Amino acid sequence: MNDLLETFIDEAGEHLAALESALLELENNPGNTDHINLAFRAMHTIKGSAGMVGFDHLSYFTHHLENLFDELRAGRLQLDQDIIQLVLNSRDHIETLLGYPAPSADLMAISETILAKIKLHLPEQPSARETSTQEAPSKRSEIVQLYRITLLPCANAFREGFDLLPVIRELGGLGNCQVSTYLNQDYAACEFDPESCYLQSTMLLSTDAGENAIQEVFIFVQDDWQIQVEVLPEDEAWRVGELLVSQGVLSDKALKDWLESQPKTGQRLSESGLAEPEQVERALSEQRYIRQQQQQKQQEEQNLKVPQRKLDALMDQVGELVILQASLDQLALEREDDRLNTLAEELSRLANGLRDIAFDIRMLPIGSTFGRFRRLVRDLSKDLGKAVELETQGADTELDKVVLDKLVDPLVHILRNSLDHGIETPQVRLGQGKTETGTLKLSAYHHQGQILIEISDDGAGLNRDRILKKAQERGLVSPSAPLDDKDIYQLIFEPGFSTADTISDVSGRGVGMDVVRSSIEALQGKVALDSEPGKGTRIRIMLPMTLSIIEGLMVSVAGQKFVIPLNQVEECIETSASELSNKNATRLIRHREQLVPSLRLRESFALQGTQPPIEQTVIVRTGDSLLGVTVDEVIGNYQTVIRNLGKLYRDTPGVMGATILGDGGIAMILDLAQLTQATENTF
Amino acid sequence: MAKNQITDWRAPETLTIYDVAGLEKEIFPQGPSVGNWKLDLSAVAEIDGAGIQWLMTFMRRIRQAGGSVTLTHLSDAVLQASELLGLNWHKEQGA
Repeated sequence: MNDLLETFIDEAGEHLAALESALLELENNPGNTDHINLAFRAMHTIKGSAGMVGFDHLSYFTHHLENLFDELRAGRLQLDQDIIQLVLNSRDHIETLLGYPAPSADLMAISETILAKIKLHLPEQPSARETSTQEAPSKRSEIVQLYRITLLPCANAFREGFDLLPVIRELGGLGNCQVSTYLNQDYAACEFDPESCYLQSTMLLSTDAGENAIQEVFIFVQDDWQIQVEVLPEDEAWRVGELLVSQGVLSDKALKDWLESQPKTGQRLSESGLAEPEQVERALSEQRYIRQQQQQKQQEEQNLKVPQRKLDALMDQVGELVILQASLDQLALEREDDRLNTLAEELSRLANGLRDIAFDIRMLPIGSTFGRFRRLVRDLSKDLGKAVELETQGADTELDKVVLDKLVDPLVHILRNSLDHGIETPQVRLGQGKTETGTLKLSAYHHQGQILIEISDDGAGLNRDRILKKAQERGLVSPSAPLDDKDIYQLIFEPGFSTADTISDVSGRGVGMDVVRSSIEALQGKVALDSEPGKGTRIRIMLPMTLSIIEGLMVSVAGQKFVIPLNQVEECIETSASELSNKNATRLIRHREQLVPSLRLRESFALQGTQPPIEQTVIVRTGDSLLGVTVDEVIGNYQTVIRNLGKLYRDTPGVMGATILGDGGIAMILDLAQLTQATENTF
Repeated sequence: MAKNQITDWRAPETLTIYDVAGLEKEIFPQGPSVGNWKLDLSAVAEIDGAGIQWLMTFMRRIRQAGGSVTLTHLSDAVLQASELLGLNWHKEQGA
């Protein structure tokens, strides 16, 4: 795929997400012009770009959607539930069309079916208008410019049926704007004729639509009105003081203090009678707007789009650098050479900085996936005849893109289950004294160096007895097994487990929750479930922030090295070898007034060698549980580049990967979640 | 008109090019007037540029003559039109 096409598909995906989000907002608030404008621009941009990269059919299809939104924003058409559903269907169809520059006859037939429905909503279009909108994409400048537009309608404008309001509304649809309207110089109180027009408007418009698109708005009035459209130069808002600050001559604070001690130009003009206070205020407000737009533009220009493969390659290189740095550290240590030591330390500082930057680039806010869940909840709840509101929290919480991508499917499974089995129909809810609308909460936040994602509903909760009965029928647990409620609820994560009496399209096929658990575990995460009958269910997912390089604590047992993820380490204590383990290499140790299950790595991994009389036990935390990991020696912090294990070792319990050491040796990275689980099962 | 007396005036349902000439004759039969006015705009369901302009001149004329004008209960139609023209009337809305 060439770069242009890749960029087009990426950007179209973003516009579709924006469209979907705008539509879901409009469903609750149909009069929100900002969202109508946003949807219009999304369609307008896809239409133009599709034409440029040879997706002619897509361009044709989106052209009609653009028309639809044009009618909506002009107020000639009212948005209703039918139109929202129609556009959502169109959005899905566009997503499909993005895969086919020349779509099949079937796909084109689907397009025509949707378009026929759209046309039913559209009022008849004047042919001139049709032509002018179609020409727009080829004229798009794609560069955001700031325009100052001055509109002086002719005196007869109102009498001739022309008004400023629709013109300004249409201009506003092209971008972000600020308008000021005032009585023009011809107005005189003593000769005022209320049917003559004395209005004049100045608009600052920030848009990427290009000047032609602006001029098209004036098509019916351009002969009679005085219209000025000028592009504001980028440096208009810069003043001498600001230049001196940028050159380092003055500090920002010194400039502000000095300016505040001076009478303002506007104040001086106003006091001298040269300008009315309201005229000064208008000019100041215009100046503020220009500055704000220019600052925003400067920030926007600093953003770059980079394909993910390039970021992955960068991360790989950083990983190699970290390994090389470890080798250099090792060499410097062996040689006892001051100069080499200094160089190694300097490289270490730079490599750490580079690693942090590379991490940061890959982090994305989890909110970028929340958007798609809103649509899922909306559509599914409708299909199921339920009223459900999705509440989200912590959309800004950042997570590695790779983790984020792999998290989507498990979250979809969980949300589907909540909608299908958890939240009741409105009738049932009302009968139980609940609100008619169920609530599904999705939240994400940082918790002890990890990301905690919670999905909770206020539905029926899990049926404990039914789960236990099914599990016993399937031989997952023995009838005599002593299980508390929490243990029973976790059984739904077992492969093939489902209590649904009927299989629906949504869930109940017995695949899902086991896939959820294995997917989360593949991400080095942990999932737990809690439920209360009649009150609802809560699922908690703990995830590491990244999967590629971690800060580790290096330990050794019988001369072999292991790495423990440092963010899970609570403390290290000395323990005695005389405390014997049970047959599973585990024992309880007393620590800070509580008993902590502990695991001897020597015994767990069947390592040979002499056990020292005083051992080191590293206390780690996974979720809410503490675990002690007993080793011979704690070596220290180690930057760990995680490498996947080969097929032979991939399923080794308690190990999530390996890392290459500075001396070329290998250290296993412990999977603390698995070790904790194994230990919990022992006690 | 007494200096401190306030005249309450309730705007009609439509404030458009078709209404402004009649309103002008009703409110300002003998040219600019002085006084304190409270304009209730709650009933305005339709307003266009001519209606907005008339309200602007209303305020300008009364204030220039030393009186005061307070806008109250701006209807959605008035709010939308005034915001579109950048007039910030919602900020000077009185109780």
